Amino acid sequence: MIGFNILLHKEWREALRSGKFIWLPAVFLLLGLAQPLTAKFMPDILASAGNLPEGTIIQIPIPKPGEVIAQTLSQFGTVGLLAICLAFMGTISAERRNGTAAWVLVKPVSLFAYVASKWVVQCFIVGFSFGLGFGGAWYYTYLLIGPPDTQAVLISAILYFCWLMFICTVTITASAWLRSPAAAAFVALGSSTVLQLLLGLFEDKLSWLPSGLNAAAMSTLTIGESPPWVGSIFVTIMFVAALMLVSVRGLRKMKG
Amino acid sequence: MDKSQLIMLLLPVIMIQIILMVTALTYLYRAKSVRGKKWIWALVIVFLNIVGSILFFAVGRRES
Amino acid sequence: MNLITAEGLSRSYGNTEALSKASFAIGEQRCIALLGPNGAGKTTTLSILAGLLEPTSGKLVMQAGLSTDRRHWMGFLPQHPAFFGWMTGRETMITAGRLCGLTAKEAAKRSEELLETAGLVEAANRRVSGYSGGMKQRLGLAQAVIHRPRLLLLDEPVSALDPIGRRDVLTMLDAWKREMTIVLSTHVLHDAEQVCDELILMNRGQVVMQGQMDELRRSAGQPFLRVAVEENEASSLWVEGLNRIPGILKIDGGKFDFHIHTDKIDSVREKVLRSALNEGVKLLAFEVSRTSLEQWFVEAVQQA
Repeated sequence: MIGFNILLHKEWREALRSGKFIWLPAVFLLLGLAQPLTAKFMPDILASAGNLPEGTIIQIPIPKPGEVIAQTLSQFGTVGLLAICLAFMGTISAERRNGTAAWVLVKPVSLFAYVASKWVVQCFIVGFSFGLGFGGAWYYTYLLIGPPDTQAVLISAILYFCWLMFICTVTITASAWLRSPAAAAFVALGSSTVLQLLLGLFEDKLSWLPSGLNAAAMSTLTIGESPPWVGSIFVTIMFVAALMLVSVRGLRKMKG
Repeated sequence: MDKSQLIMLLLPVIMIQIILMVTALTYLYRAKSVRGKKWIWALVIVFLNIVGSILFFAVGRRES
Repeated sequence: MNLITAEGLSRSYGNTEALSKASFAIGEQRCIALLGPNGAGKTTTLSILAGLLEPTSGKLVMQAGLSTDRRHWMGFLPQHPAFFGWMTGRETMITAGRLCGLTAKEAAKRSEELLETAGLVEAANRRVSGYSGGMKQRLGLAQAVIHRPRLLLLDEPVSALDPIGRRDVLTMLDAWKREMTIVLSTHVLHDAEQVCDELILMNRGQVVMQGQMDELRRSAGQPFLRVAVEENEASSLWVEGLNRIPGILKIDGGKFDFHIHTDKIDSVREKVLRSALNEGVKLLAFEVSRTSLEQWFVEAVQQA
């Protein structure tokens, strides 16, 4: 992996200077803090919104701590995922279009190092953002609603991070093959949706899909027990490795 | 839970929101060119706050 | 010994053939111009040489003993050099050096040297996104040679520059061509003539010919004498009598500044000079010139 360290350093500085290290963590943290607050104060908010006849008793049960954190994860799964895809959709295609990819690749650098440096830094940003947001959600849930089960929270965090890492990899691969960043974001979001749909349809047969990680994280938090997820983790790692090689192929295709 | 406690809890959220908005506006101000008009982006960032900032960071900037 | 020999390189995009059976040789320590009109296949050729593009058919033979990954001993500057706009000039140089395998110390040292050569010392800490076209081009050249390549490939290095930028770049190239082989593409013959000593003429994806610049100049056109004299009665008389000198085919141009065409340049040169001295004509200029390659270039391109 010739050039990996240098490229890693370059990606790192680029992430810092382009503000990705500010806005992605901010997005996740906001989502993480907002969910427990909403869960706690939704009845009050509804009540103060007025328009309700005198004497209406609002009965919205305040959810359990684990459920609140699971709701946060589903926020991460929509807005958070969108943010990740938007942030990284052009990671390779933009550099190819503006010629900076050629600038790097005429130097004695391996294609794999080029892709891997992006992958490492992006997974780090995503991990950091997710950690911050998830930690915030945990803390606020603890303060506002009650202590969730620590073991369940930690297991679900690991599972969910693997799922995010998988989506991150899909985004990179799509960006290596597709000229248009929007198309890459679409492919990444689309594959996340399709994988979750498939899992929903054939839950018993396809639990080994990467989207099984997402589902396992959710059920660990809500019902306290998780379906077996070791298979999903293994499959996801295989998928990630394969996608990295596919990305390198996409880059090589540029040479025709 | 009384009012002051609530404010203590809401404060970080508002802070982050402000930091995000200010960062986005700073990048907007310093950017040489953006997709579309700068003043439109300023409105988007201020009024759609979190979503506006994300949109700006993700698609509003042009690589120089 | 040639650095690279290209044998029958072809490259097609869909049905259009951008390069067709191009064969040429790139020797050492010289400056070679890839000359041709737009669409001649120059950029395709350079991209293949740089390893950014694979040829559809044909092959490149490298000099034995050089690393098979030619990126180690090759520098490349594309037609529109792209940099990371958020890096400063110095960071760009150092990153380039490190990617080429230099140690941090070497990279820093080479960067300073080359920033100096490129006249970018003052701008070194500014972001590249704020650089002018000329500065980017000089930065591009500087970063392309940071690892002291044996071969430097430049795609239209001066086309987009103003006269001053053009001169700066040509000066840098002139200094480097003793240390490495430079291959540059251009559609302007004049630029090629200024720094290059060898020419590969291309047209419509084919190599029309390859040769030494001075050989080409010699064969390109007949030499002629350019004479300028002081404007006075004696000169006027002398000029009118010049026709009598044997060997002169034609005299054209102005009355006191004219060209003498001949097929026996040596004897005519001597006779004209002698007669001018005998008649006491005050010469202002006396030189042997050749028809520029321009004419030859246009003809060669039209023939192909």
